[in-house]
This record gives sequence, C-alpha cells and structure tokens, in this order.
Amino acid sequence: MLLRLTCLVLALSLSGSSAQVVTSSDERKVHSFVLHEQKLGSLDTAFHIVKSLLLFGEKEIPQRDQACSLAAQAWVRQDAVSLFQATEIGTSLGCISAEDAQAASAAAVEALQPDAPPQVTRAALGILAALKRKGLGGSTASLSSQQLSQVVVGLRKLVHTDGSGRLRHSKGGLPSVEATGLAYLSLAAARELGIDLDDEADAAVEQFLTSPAQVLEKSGTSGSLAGAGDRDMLAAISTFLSGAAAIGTSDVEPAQMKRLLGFLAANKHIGDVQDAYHFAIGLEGYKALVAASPRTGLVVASVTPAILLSGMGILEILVTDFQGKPAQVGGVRLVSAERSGSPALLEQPLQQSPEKAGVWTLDFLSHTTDLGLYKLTVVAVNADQRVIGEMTGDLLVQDELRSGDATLVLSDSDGDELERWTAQPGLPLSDHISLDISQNLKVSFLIKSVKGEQVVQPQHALLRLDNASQGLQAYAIAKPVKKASDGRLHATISHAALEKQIGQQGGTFQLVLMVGDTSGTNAREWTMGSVHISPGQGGSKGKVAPQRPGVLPAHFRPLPEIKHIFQQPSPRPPMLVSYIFTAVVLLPLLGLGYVLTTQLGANLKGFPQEQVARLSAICFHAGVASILGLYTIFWLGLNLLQTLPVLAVLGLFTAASGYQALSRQANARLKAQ
Amino acid sequence: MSSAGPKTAGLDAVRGIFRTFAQEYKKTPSKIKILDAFAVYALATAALQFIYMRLVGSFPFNAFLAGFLACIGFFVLTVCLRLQLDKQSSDFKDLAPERALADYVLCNCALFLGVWNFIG
Repeated sequence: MLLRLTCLVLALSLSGSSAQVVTSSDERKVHSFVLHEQKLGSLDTAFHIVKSLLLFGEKEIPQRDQACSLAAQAWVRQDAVSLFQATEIGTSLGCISAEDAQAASAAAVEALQPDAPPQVTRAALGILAALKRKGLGGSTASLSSQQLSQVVVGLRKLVHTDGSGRLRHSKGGLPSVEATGLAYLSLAAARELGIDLDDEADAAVEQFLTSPAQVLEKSGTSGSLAGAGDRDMLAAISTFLSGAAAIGTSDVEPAQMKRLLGFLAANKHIGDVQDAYHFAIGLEGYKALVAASPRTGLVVASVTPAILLSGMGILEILVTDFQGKPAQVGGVRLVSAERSGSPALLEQPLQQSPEKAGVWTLDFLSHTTDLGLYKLTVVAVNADQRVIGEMTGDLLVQDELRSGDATLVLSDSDGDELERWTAQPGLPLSDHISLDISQNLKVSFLIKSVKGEQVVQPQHALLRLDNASQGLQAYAIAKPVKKASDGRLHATISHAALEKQIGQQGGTFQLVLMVGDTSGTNAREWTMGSVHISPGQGGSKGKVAPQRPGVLPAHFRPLPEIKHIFQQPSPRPPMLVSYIFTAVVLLPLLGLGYVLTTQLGANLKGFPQEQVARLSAICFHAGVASILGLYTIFWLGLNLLQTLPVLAVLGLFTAASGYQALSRQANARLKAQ
Repeated sequence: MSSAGPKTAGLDAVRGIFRTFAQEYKKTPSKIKILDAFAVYALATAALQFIYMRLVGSFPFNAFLAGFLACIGFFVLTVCLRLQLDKQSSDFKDLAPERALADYVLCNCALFLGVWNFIG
C-alpha cells in the first residue's frame, strides 16, 4: 500500500511544468479585494488603495473625500515620500490646490540631491512629473538641467545590484532590485519633465536601458524567485517591473520574464492593500514589457505528466499568453527528450490540435517506448522560425509491471544447494521452507512491463519476512544479478542477518516480495510462502530487540499520562482544642502577672514624678506599645512595604522619647549615688 | 550499711543543692527576680506550644516556629538583660542599666518584627 502511494505521489510531482499565469479572473479578485477595503487609516493606505483602483480602471473612487482629507494633512510634512503620495492622490482625484502644488514642488526640488536615497529621488521627481501632467507647474522651472543631470548620474551606482531584493533602509540607498526599479521610475519622471540632460547623464540613461537583464541575473532572482508570501520580494519585483516598463526597455530575457510571471502568479492571493498595489503595478509593468517585446510573454507548458504504454501515448503542449489565453505561434518543436541509458529523441515537430485551442501534440510512443523519466525541452517558434518561447519539463512513460516465476534456493554455509523451489507469480508456495542456523535462502525473480515486455530494474525491490503474531519484521533488499544478462534480481536471506533484525527468537514468517517503480503504474506485493526460522543460539551478535510492525520504539511512544496527586490537606485539630490551648498558653501570662504583683512586689513607684521625665517615660512606653500594635495590624492586613515607613516614624518617636526618659533616669541614678 | 544508703545520700545531696539555691536566691535583687519571672514565663509558653505541636501536629509549621522562636528569643534577650543588670556580674560593670534596657527594647522590636512577619 505504501509503495502504491509513493508511486502515485511521485507521478503527480512529475506532472510537467504547470503553467503559471495570471488570468483576468485573478485580476478581478484583486480588484474586488481593494474595492471592498473601507478603512483609509493612513496616507500610505489611501495612496495604495487609490492607485490600485485607478490601475484597475475605476473611474469613481468610493473613499475619495477621505483620501483627499488625508492628503491635505500631509502638506505640512517635509518628507518627500509622504508629499509624493499626497501629490499622487491630489492630482489623481483633483483635490490639490495651487498653493499646495507650489509647496510640494518646492520641497521636491530641494530634496533632489545627487546622494539622496533612491526612494527620495523617485518621490521628488514623481511629484514634479505629476504636477506637470496636471498643469500645476509650480516651481519646476527652478529645476536646472545641471541639477537633474547630477541626480541621474548619481543613480548610476544602482545599475548593478549586490544581490539583495528589497531596498534596505539606509541613507545612501544601497543597490538592490527595488532600488534599481526606483531609479528606472526616476528616469522616466526625469524624461517627462522634458529637461535636457548633459552627455554624462545621457550615458547613465543608456546604461540603465540596457541593464534590466543583468540586474536580475546578478541579484539571483533570475535563478529561482521566492514563492508566495514573500512580501518584500513582491514589492521589489513589482517596483522593478514598473520601472523597467516606464523607461521603455525590453532588455529582459524570455526565461527571466517567465520566472517573473511565475512569481506574480504565485503572489496573486494577496492579503492587504499594499500587496494588492504591488501586484497591480507589477502586473501592469509586466504587461507593458510584453507589449514592447511580445516574445517574452509566451507561456509554453506540458499538460501530459505521464504516458501509458497501454494508452494513446500522445504528448500535449499548451502554448498561451501570460493570461492563460491560447496564443498563436508559427510552430512548436520537441528539441530533445533525454532519458539516462537511452538515446535522446531529437528535433521532432508537434502538430497543432484541431480540437483544443493552443494545444500542440506529438505521438510520443511512435518514437520510443522505453519506460522511465524523460527530460523534455520544447520550444515555440514564430513564422520566421525564431524561438519565442521554451519549456523544460519531465515526462513519465509508464506501464503496468508484472513479475515472472521466482526461484527460491536454500543453501548451507558452504554454498551447497540443499533445496530449490519455483514459485509462480502471485501464488504462494505450497511447501513450507525451513531456515536453520548458518543456512541461506536466495530468491531470484524478474520484473517486466506488461505491454512492452521490457525488463525493468525497479527502484524498490524488497523481500519482507512478516510474523504478525509475534510482531516481528525483517527485510532483505533485492539487487540485480551482475553476471545475469536477463535482468534478474535476487535477494539473499541469511540466518545471521535475520538475527540482527529480529533477535534470536525465530518463528514462522510470511515471505512477501514488494516491488515498486515510477515507470510502473502499479506496485507489486506477492506473498511467496511461509518460512520457519529456527531460534538463534547464544553468543550471537544479533541481540537487537525485535520490532513490532506499526509500533514505534519505546522512546517514540507517548509516555504514560501524568496523574496529578494533589497534596492532601494536613490534619487540623478541632477548633475547640485550638481555643483551649490558646487559653492554656495564656495561663503563664496570668501566672506572671500574679507572681509579679504578689510575690515580687513589682510596682510603679519608680515611675518618674518630674513632669518632663514623666512625659518622656509615658511617650516611650506609648511608643513601644504603638510599635507592638503596628505589628498586630501588619499581621492582620498590611504588607512589609506599608509597615516599614510607619515603623520608621514610630521608631524615631520611641527612640527620641526613650532617650529623654532613660537619660533623665540615668542622671537621677547618678545623683543618688 | 544497707543498699538504700547511696540512693538516700544522692537524694539528700539534691535537696541540699536546692536548699542552698533557694537561700542564695533570696538575696537576689527584686528587679533581677522580675527578669527571672519573665524568663520563666517565656520558657513556659514555649513548652506549652511545643506540647501542643506534638499533640496536634506541626501544621502550619511556620506559625509554630514563629511562636516558639518568639518565646525562645525573648528568653535569650531577657537573660542577656539579666546578665547586664546583675551587679555581681563583672563583665558589664561599665554598662549603664539604661543603656542595657534600651538595647533590650530595640532587640525585642526587631525580634517581634521578624516573628510577626514569619507567623503567616
């Protein structure tokens, strides 16, 4: 069962290069998402929503007033990016006044410095270009060609990226895919301003026009783009596409365009308006690049993951545009179909299918019937036979597998044959096999395909010994016989090797042959018979604990449930007993009082009589009593932090009054002496 | 001589010790006797608490310790005061009794702060 599942999964994973396209339906979903976004919490969100809706062709923006209000609040800010967002909203929705335009353009001119970060340069030039488009010229006239040329030359350092995608937030604006995209957008805005650049700036512009392919190559994004969910890369790629389209370059390789399309397709399930905006501008840029160079927008994909020898054997190739619509091309050609150990199939033309639009077919089996995995290279050409699209993918040629007669040979440790059996495919042996110590059992068999009668060397060929009652399993791997020319496989089961797997117990086991291969549509599991394995003797190295099939080793199994045993409450005496003993403990106090007053003659005659001394003594004793009272209150309700300040005050009072009283007492004593 | 002789002699000796102690103790100043009474009171209270703990158990143990150690601590401080105030003691001749009393009060305040905190 496991083998069947493995083969199925493997076959599905080789299901050709599935076309990554962005259809009109995908665009409508993103459009709908943005349309239903009600909250404009910030200027940034408002900018993304307004621009996205305008890109999707909305004429009326539902949150227009709210967006204009947010833009109006931004005019007091000094940062170029916020002013750019506000300007874009204001000019797009027609809610920018002449004074605000003047202020924005002045701030933009001031921000245009050769060493400014690319996002600031783009924002500043974007403000000026947007104002010029709407006829709100402002102070663009104060922007000199020299200043603009210096800015363009300053962007030159972004031609070659250093491998990173998203713009890193640094003052200098480090090279990255996004930074280069911002440079492209800046150049496009600079052109729109119509100011003549000097020769050095012109040379920089020329460099930019021929750099997109190299930028993508160096950044590593041309190899394999990150998939869905990489928001940073989505922003970077989208900015790049938008910028490349804005400067009107077509210098992006078809393979790079294919990967970029695949990236956009993987990121079409957006989660917020920022992603929706980046997706929209990226797609818009991609469309513009395809329009400039139509050959880059073609998608060639195989829709035939596997061919069965028992079936039609037709390979189908689908040629569409980037939106999934069938595309008209001059021809489609199979350049090569390679399989290890087999000659490559070369240069076969495909025929256009009359029933299915955009589908080209080839009768693959008329050229080869060898089973296995083929690496295909297919190209689409135009009328002039120029390659305008290509695809590399996998094709699996499969057939049903069957096994021939299996031979079982029992031999002793010297290799002398003791007994031999022949098992017919699918049927168990009627005889019972006994495997004693130092004996070996060798099983040899042949696997062939049903239709093509081809000998197959399967990827998985095992013998399994199964004892369900004892929960024991052992395996022996089958390998090709080196000297045999007919492709037979054999597996050897020795008593010593079995002891290492199942221990020394022995027992009666079912002998099962398991075979599986990707070129087979079915996995084979054949119960050949039963084998009695004699128990091992002491001193063997095979002391491994037996395995129970389907049962995990002890340290992987769940541990026993922890049952909490809560502490039992300690036995307490009855309340009456406690009260009685409380009274008993107070008895010594009563006894003390009695002894002090009657036996020892304790009295207050020594209490100071003089007024000040008397007062001091009273205060001292009151202080001591108050401290004890504070301790009682502390026990009843306060905490230490509440008690200590009060204690400090009472302590000082008691100390002062005690010092007075005791010092007078001492003086009186010394006088008496 | 009979076998009860040594036993009787022992008892007589003990009685003699107690008689001598009583006679000498009568000479003790009354202030010292008052302190002795406090010390005996503290010991008696500690003993009663201990007996109670042995009868009904030590839960809550912190409360037992607080009460027991309060009595023992008070006993120790009282004995220290007695030593300081006793004129026959040569160690504390230069120490003023008022100073000893002040120290005694301060130490008791600290002792009972700890006890009340620990009693729970």
